[in-house]
Amino acid sequence: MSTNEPLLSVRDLTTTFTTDEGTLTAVDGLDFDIHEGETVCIVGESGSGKTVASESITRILSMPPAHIDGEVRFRGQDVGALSDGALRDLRGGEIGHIFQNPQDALNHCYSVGWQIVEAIQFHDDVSKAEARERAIELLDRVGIPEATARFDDYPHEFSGGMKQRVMIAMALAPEPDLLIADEPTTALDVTIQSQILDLLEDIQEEFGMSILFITHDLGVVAEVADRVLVMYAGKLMEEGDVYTIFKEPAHPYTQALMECLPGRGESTKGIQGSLPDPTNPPDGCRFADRCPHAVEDCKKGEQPTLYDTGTADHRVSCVYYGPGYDESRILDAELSTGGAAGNGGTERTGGMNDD
Amino acid sequence: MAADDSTPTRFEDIDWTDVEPSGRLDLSPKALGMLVSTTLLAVLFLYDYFVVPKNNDTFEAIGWAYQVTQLDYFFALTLLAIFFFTVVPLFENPHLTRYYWDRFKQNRPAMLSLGFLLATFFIGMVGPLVLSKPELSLFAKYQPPVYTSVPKSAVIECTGRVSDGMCHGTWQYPFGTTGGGKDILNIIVYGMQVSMKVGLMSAFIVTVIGSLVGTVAAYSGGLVDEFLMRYVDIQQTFPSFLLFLLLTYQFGGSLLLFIAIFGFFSWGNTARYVRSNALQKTEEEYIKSAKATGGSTWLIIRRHLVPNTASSIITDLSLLIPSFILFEAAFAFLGFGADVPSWGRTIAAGRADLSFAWWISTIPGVFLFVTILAFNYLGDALLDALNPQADTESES
Amino acid sequence: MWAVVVTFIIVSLTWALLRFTPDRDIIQAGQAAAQAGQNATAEQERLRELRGLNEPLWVQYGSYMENVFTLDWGFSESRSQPVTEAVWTSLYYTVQYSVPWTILTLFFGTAAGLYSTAHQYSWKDNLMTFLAFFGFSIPNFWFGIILLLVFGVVLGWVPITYQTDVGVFTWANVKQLILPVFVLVTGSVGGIQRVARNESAEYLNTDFVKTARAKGANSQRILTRHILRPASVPMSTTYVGTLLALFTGSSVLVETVFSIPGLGRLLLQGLTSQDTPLVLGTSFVFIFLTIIGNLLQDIVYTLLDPRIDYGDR
Ligand code: SF4
Repeated sequence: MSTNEPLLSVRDLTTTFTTDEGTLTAVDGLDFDIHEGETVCIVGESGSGKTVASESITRILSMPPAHIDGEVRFRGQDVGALSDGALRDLRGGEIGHIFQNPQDALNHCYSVGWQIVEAIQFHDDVSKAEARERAIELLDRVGIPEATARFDDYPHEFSGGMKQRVMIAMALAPEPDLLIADEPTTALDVTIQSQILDLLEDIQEEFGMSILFITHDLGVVAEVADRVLVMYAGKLMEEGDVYTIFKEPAHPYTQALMECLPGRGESTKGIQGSLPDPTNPPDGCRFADRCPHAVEDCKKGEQPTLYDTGTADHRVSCVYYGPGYDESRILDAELSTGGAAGNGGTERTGGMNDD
Repeated sequence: MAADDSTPTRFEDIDWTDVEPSGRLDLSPKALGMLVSTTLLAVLFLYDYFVVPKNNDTFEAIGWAYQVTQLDYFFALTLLAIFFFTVVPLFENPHLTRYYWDRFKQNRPAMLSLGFLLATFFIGMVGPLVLSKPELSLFAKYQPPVYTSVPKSAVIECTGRVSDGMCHGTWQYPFGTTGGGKDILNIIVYGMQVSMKVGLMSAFIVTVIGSLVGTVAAYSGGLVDEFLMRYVDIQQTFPSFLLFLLLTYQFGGSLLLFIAIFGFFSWGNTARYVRSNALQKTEEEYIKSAKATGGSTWLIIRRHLVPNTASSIITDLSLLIPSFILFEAAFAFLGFGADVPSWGRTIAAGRADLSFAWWISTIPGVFLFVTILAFNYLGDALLDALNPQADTESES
Repeated sequence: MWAVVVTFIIVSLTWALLRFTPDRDIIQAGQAAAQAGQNATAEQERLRELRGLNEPLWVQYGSYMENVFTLDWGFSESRSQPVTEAVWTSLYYTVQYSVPWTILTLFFGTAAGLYSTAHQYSWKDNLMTFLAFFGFSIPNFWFGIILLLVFGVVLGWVPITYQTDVGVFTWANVKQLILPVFVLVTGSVGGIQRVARNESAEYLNTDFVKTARAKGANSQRILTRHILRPASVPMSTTYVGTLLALFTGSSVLVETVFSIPGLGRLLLQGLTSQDTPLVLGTSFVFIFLTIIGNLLQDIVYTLLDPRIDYGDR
């Protein structure tokens, strides 16, 4: 772990929504840090709370119904304690955001230029002409051909990939230190996906910023991440650097995710079962219902604490890594394919035990 | 969802028609009730029409001096329809009713509104049977409402106490009287009935025609659909107030005519809802499977389509009904009204006397206002309670 | 294009309505003749001929349509002037209150709607809802009477009768129009508020609003720029519909209450004095206004939403 102070530090982040059916806990006691220049990925299936977690950082969720608890520090500053004005300066100014669906993330009523200029002028006191010039530079930088001519075009005149480039330009405009990218490539074609990922990497190098990358796609994780957080049902399941996570996934859920990767395990099978009810989560481990290794202890008390595995910075929330259990039972287990109970017996066809 | 899976949890899931055509003769109690009551009504109508001499009271044979008019028959039919298609299904689905009731209960203004409207409805139904029709009695003119007073010079005979040249109101005329000496309380009660008749009967016509046209359009498709929907376009372009005014002008105004005009020219939205819902639902699997298993189109429409659209129709009606009532009052105010003791007429009548006899226009005005307000709140609450989309919003 | 067709159809329907229902004038003429001891049928026949009712239907229809579209709307017996002239003078008075009415309604309705959206489900929203319901539940004509009583008769702040001889932009005119405009605005602002609230609330959770928030926009800017603009497309449709639906009725009632000699009163006068050409003429104006309103809405549509091509409509 680097010794200097992290850029972003999140402690016990809990986000709840009040609904007719009761209180829905989307993110439950999440802890993590992001250091300068680092790319951290949050992985999890949809509904795991990763998006809500990312949007809770700068509180861009609509405040009622969302309720955010816990501590978020950016450069040591408590984000929750900021005034409205200071919070708005932080949003965009120091923490940029890009979203999953470029189709809807741009306002269809305004030209892309207008929207970038708006972002610039929120944070820098520059004239319209200067802002325009910078916007065109940025559009050019993110790879929009003929940026000057396209400045006044409306979002519907751009393709999905181009729109995502525009979004990136807009997020970069005030030169943020942290970019939160929420599934930025999910809605795009595969070829365009990799272009966007390359663009993000180039830009990260050039601007020297940190990235918090939200995705459900382990392929993307492998490509961009320095460190990985695995979330399930609002809880952090496992965290570690990208090599460790891919080489020695320690949590049964992470292992199940890995099984779904093409070329590893039976790619066609997803993890069976479904997420627990977020308004009324079960006792014990959230994954217990779908976990092939679940034992009695898993269904009692709270989610198991994050135990160190012995590898540096690698922590896992699973009883097997706690006292009284033998973690090798999981690490070495011949995993049954889908992970879910009931289809135990199927042979594994490849995977992480070969090294 | 809160309720368990075996009970219907949404309005759409109510089984509105238990009339399973399994055997010719075994009818459910509900269908039987429907059949018997409608038949009775029809028999009574025929008896009235063919047997009873024209200007005799319908129930003369049993000594009840009540002349049943066409309007009354139609109203009775409307009430039967409301009973069998609203009240009975709610009773048959206690779980669901409870569910809606719980949601509805949280809305205070809507509860108050419902109470007020139910009271208006029942008083309007029973009142005119008990109270005599408001009658002219010149000696009793301009009696002030109870607890208020009017200069002695305004009245001919003061029924109450007279002091300092002021005539005080009494409980004999709690709401005072008009310039013609009509008891305003009587007018209010009769007006309730008129308003309810106008609102409910027009709504009944709208529902029947709207559902019919909507389903026909959706199921026929092609030219028929195009034609019907274009017609709806045109009908909705035409300003309704003007249309009603012109028709009244052409045909002269009776209450039945009013209701017919309102009903026959306001079903556009309902038809649209039903049509779009029908188009959407026909794509859905359960309709396909219902078709595949040989369900008749008619049955599909009744079992799936009408219930599915019910919430939009009800919401639409909750806005139409008050506008009908308001139209009736406005026409009465303009002097085009039917010759019935309605609120609008009284407001118009009291206008000239406002400076000293404020109550004549004000009291019916307040009732009109509160009734319409109540319908609006009720409609809003129904929209919230019946529309499942409203509460899923926050779950994303 | 559709607007033209609609106009055509509606005007034709109006003709059919008048042509195929018993004509009151002719019946009355017959009755009058009978009372005077003349031959009722002969008199009616004479009138029919005079009006060209004996000609083939399509000829009647043709000349009717021609007259309508050449603005040859006939002569008003009750006003002793050509219908077009009567309509023209009345329009002058109607415009004087309708323009401020429309502007104020749109402004306050939208503002109140956005305010409700910004404070969704709080007491402020509930208050707005109550005011909206209050506004459209209170019968225009009754409210007008009461206000006239209080501010005109009792307090004497505004004139009780409408003066036609004051200039448009004079204080006296403002004073006499304040109440009618107020009554009209209370009646229509609620509808607009509901529409604005519901439509803009739909955009509250969209991705682009989130983008705006993530950019650092404050809530006022989000409402007035990022929500209002896209919401104004569906809003404009309902706005036009709501206002047009209210227009005829409100103008008839409010003009009656405040004795403004505008279009609504003219229509009423035509109806009460059974002056059919006058009734038709005023109705046409209302119908044309409606259709123009609908056209306008289509144009606004294309202006507000860059995704809609002018060629599409
Ligand atoms: S705690 Fe139990 S249920 Fe949860 S992942 Fe570990 S073994 Fe599975």
